[in-house]
Amino acid sequence: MSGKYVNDYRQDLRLFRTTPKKVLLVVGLLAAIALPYLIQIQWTPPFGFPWKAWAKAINLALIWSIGAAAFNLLLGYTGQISTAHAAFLILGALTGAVLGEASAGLGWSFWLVLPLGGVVGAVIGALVGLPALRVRGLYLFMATLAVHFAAILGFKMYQVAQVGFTGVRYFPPEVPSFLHWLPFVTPDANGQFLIQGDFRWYFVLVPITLGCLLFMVNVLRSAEGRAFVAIRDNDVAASLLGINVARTKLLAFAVSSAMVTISGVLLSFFVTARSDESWSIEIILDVAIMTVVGGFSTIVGGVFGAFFFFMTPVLFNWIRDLPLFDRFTFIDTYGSQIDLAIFGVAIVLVLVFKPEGLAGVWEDTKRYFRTWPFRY
Amino acid sequence: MPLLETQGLTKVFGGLHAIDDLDLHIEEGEIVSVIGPNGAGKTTFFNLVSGMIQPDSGKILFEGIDLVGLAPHQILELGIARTFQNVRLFQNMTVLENAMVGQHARTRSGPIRAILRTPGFRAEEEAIRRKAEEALAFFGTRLIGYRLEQPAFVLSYANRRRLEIARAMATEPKLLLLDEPTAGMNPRETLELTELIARLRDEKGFTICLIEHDMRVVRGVSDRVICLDYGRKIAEGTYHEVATNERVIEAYLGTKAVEGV
Ligand SMILES: Nc1ncnc2c1ncn2[C@@H]1O[C@H](COP(=O)(O)OP(=O)(O)O)[C@@H](O)[C@H]1O
Ligand SMILES: [Mg+2]
Repeated sequence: MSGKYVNDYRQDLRLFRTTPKKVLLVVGLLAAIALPYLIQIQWTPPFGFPWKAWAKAINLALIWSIGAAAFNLLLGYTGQISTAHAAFLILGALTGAVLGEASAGLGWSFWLVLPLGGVVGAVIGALVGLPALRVRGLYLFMATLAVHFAAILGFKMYQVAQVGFTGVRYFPPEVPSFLHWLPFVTPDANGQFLIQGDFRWYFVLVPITLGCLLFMVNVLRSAEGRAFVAIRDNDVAASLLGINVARTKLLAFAVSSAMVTISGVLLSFFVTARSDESWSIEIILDVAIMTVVGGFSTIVGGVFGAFFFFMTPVLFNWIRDLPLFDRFTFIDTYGSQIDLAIFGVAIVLVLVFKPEGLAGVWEDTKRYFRTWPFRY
Repeated sequence: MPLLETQGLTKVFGGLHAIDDLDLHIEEGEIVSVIGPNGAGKTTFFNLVSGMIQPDSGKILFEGIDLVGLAPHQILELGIARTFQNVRLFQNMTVLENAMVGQHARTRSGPIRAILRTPGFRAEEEAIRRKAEEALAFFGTRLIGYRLEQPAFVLSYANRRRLEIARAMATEPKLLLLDEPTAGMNPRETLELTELIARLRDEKGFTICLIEHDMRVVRGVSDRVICLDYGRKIAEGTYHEVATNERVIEAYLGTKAVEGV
């Protein structure tokens, strides 16, 4: 139970309804703005702590937050297990490659391709969701697995036909000209307003990620969102309460897929190169790790999970380079396997001690401060 | 025109006639009890009316509209809501959210307005919540206050049954189908619910059809009683007419004697 009883539903409808929450919001925003400036500071921390490496990890985490949260919307909220999830990342990359400023693309603006990716993702997502109307559980898992390989094939066919084996290159998008007057928008050395490098991308990714997360949160805080959970908990009762189960499932697939496709467009323009080799089946596992560790059935869980996923390796890379571990050569030999093992241990720990994941830890912390100094 | 009418309704499960050429009708404003031994086809009758399963033959007319072939959510939109013999709540949702889902079919906002949080959407959400709370408040203080925010799975058995009724009420139905609403309740809770069923009709104006084993409840609330056996209607009339009917007594002998006759 929360410490505060809400009497006025109009207040309850707002996301940040109390003054402390508003203060926290402002502080959080200021910290978010300050962060990349801090990372830019020329400074060598003790023990060679990887200061700079955070920048890229944070940007990747921002992009994947969208995908992990969207996966949660589908699996955690609606109870639909889909392995086609990562396929929409590929679809986003393909949309960017075909329409955007890429190797053989049509050269449309990034700012147009991004929302278009969402539309394409929603339509194809609803189609991919069709098997969910017939099968569920493990069968749906298998049925959607085919979509992943179809997406890789699609990307490869496009790549071979249009670009060649080197893979697709994505060119840096530009800040739209109507934003050039803003004080913090400055031209680069060539007088252009290109978005490249971790610092600039960060300021593009933060608002887009927040926008996508808010989009999902708003869907979930509505009758549609209640219908998602109703279907997960008891689809028979849901249909007998007037919920069109088929339509609602397809809506969940469409919303989730649209979000992942958008993150796919972001990812390819951020990393600037993609090929058919970029998409292993492991991506599905990665998203699953983020979702479980971050916490099921919460949008913020996806964010925690993504940050955990990208920040932990940076941390452990640093730890194993410490002089302390020089004697253990196997650590260097099996670096990535050790990372995976760490994720494995983290998942087990979460499942055993905190099934609600990092989001659950976050809730506990908030509750602790809300009810402070009274413990119960 | 009766509110609900079945004509030659038949449902066969692998050779077993669960519902066999059933003709019955329910008038607007009535409270009708359906009784019969276990396996008589009572729940199957509810399943057919609510669209969970399709009949093999026959018609189900609701306000003159044939329900056969319609999806459950379409039937609910027409104004038939039900509860289940084995309670089916949304376990991980709060009490309030469960009742709010009941309002789903009466909602129009859709995903776009939800994303944009338009004033219309906010007003509608508020109305949904008010109606859900209204339905919950029908059970006195049992489901409101701090309970509103409790997940359904922590509720007592009796409260789960109450919540299921509240959720069905929140759909604003014309006809309410209650499948063994007092099953598992103690005598005091049963008495309380009996009074409530009468109030549901008198104050909320629902027409009610209930399946009930407890004959005190049946006697307490029914305008009319229908007895099924092997999917067929074997008796119909006032409580006394049915309770003293020889075929009814015979049907119950060897299974469960009619209590309180
Ligand atoms: N889905 C089903 N599949 C097969 N048989 C069923 C099904 N539903 C009910 N039956 C059978 O139909 C008969 C009537 O069941 P039911 O309507 O549940 O009886 P009750 O009057 O006790 O509610 C029983 O013999 C039951 O086994
Ligand atoms: Mg039954």
